[in-house]
Amino acid sequence: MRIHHVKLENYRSYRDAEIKFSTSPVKNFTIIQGSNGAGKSNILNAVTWCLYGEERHLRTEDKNRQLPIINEQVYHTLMPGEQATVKVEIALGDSEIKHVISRQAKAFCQPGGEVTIREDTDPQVMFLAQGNWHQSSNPIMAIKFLLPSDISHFFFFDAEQLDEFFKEGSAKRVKKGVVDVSQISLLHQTISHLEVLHGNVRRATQGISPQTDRINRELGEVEEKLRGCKEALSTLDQNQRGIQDNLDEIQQRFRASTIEEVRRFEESRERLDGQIRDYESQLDGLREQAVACLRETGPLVYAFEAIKTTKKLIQEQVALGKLPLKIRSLFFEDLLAQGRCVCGQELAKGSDASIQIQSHLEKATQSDYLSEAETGKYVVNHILRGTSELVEKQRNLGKEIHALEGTIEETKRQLRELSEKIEKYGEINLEEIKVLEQQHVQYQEEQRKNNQEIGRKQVEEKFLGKELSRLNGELERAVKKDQKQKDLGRRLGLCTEALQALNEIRSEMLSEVRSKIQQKTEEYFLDLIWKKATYKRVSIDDNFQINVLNVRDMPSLGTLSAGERQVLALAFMAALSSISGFDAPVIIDTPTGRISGVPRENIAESLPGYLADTQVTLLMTDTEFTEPVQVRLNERIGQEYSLNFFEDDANTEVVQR
Amino acid sequence: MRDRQINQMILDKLEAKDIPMHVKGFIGEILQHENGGIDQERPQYTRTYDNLLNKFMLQQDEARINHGETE
Repeated sequence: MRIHHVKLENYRSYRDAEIKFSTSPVKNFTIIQGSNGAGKSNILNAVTWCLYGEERHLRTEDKNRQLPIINEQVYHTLMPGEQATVKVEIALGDSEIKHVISRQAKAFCQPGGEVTIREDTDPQVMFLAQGNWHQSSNPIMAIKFLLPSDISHFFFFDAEQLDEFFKEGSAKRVKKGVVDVSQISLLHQTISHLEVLHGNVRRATQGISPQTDRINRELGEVEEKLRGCKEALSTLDQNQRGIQDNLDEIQQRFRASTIEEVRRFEESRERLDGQIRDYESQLDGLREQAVACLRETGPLVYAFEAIKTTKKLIQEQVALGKLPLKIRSLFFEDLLAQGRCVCGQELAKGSDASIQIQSHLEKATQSDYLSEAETGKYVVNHILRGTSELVEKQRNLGKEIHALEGTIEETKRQLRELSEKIEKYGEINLEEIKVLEQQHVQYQEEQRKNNQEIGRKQVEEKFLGKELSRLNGELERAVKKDQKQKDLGRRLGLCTEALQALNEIRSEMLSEVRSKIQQKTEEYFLDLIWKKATYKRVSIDDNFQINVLNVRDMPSLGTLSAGERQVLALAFMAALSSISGFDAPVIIDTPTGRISGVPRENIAESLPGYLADTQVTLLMTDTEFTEPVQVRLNERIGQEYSLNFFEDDANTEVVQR
Repeated sequence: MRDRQINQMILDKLEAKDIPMHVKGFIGEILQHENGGIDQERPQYTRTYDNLLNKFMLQQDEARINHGETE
């Protein structure tokens, strides 16, 4: 989707202006350049006001002075009884305009000279259908499906205000953004509605039979337990985040300490913490391998003696000359069926030759188990070899696990020593350090207990989920037993299957989308950042907490400069845009305001690649839109404007370049 | 009239699911319904979902009959 034009009438510094945006797929950039105060942010405000009734990017001075939405000159020249209209119009579409959205406000000068302004509650939306223009009866819904307000912050933003994303409590905002932009919220809503339908269908199965009643009761109990389990997990996650925030704060204070030794201790501690996290992750992997190996090995080890005995019996038959079989029963059967021997003699029924062949056949049939043993001996050898290899593998895994557990224990011992040093340092020098260290130890202990409880609850959740599936299946079968209720059983089955599939899709989406956004954000951030030797990774954990790790694996989000945070914000937004599957135009106010020289040029070089299929509008100051930046963006610029503000008549002139 | 398509990732995952066609069809339609169109009133979803359930059960019956005829 593209913005074709924005028309402004008496809106703030714009008396009468029209800006045509580039809709070319190749030259997808529109540059609007102006010095501070020329009216750049008013363009972004005009767009959000028109669409959502909100001016999200008012400058502090405008807010403080409480300037009216109507152009100042018009406001002051209105005579009693006169009125003026403020209007913003946006045209949207792909190659052609398909929607025109407009919003108005009326300013009326009262007889006493006071000017009152009344904004329209809703915008007007016109849409093109079958060659004709129609007015939408539900403009709010119309806009919701074109450019939803809840995700618009990710497409229309002031780059300097993106800091908010990475401040305290940002994980919730980040998750909401990701969930809304990737439409996981659509899955949430669908599942929630389908659960209601499923509940209704299930209620209709009550009273069919004692069996269905029993199953329904059990289902109710399991659902109650599952609800409790999920609530408990949510509380535990919240507690865990709170504990982590406290730990981060203490770490920050140690890192910011004026005492060199304390800073060194803290750096060592964070390095050891990072190592333990890595080791524990490796340990999880090894344990999973060991369990999988045990599942394979277990039955074989259990049957090992029986398999060895089978091999011994086969070898005995070989020693007795009974294996390999000289002639198989099939051969004799074929001869009798054909009625002729290999020597050519006819085998008429009842003839001596035929009776002799029949006698050989009987002997061969008695020993048919030997023909199984003949092929079996290869299988048995293969199993025995395989079992030995698996047992060896299990043994090696056990050794690796034991060694790694030892390493983890040793690292934890070093951590404890470090903690004692910090505490002792505090005893000698600063009470505050001692207290902080004791708090640190206490929070870590709480975190460990929390993690264990989370692990237990997750296992319980999984088990209850499986129970639920089993009981739903049982209910469906029980309902279908009753011929009269077959249709009800099928409805139940369809609902249950659909719910299960949707839940799986949602779970996969959450994991994949988070992972893809992390990957893209890291790729773009490391590409754009100028301190390439300092930063190593961007992580977005399961709770959508973003962090930047330096080359020593230490969390560095809190120590990023304003410019670096702006780069992280741009990288994150570009990543969101790339995975959203949602073709929305992007408008960025002051994209590189806090970034200087070469890094800014770097961004100008790379940003077009990240947003290749997107219409991008950059509102830039003259200090941002330097010649080197122009050169790098040149090939992608489809429209270019400069804004000149004339103080005398409080008007911004839009000049096409 | 709707302009915001459902995220292709969701549709691809649905397509890849090893579930019967009528279940996929049912899920596809309820997702489209939730994604909505601007010239409809906000739907009473339970009624609409009921209708979609009936539609796809019928589809399942037709598929069974066709399969039986082929055999």
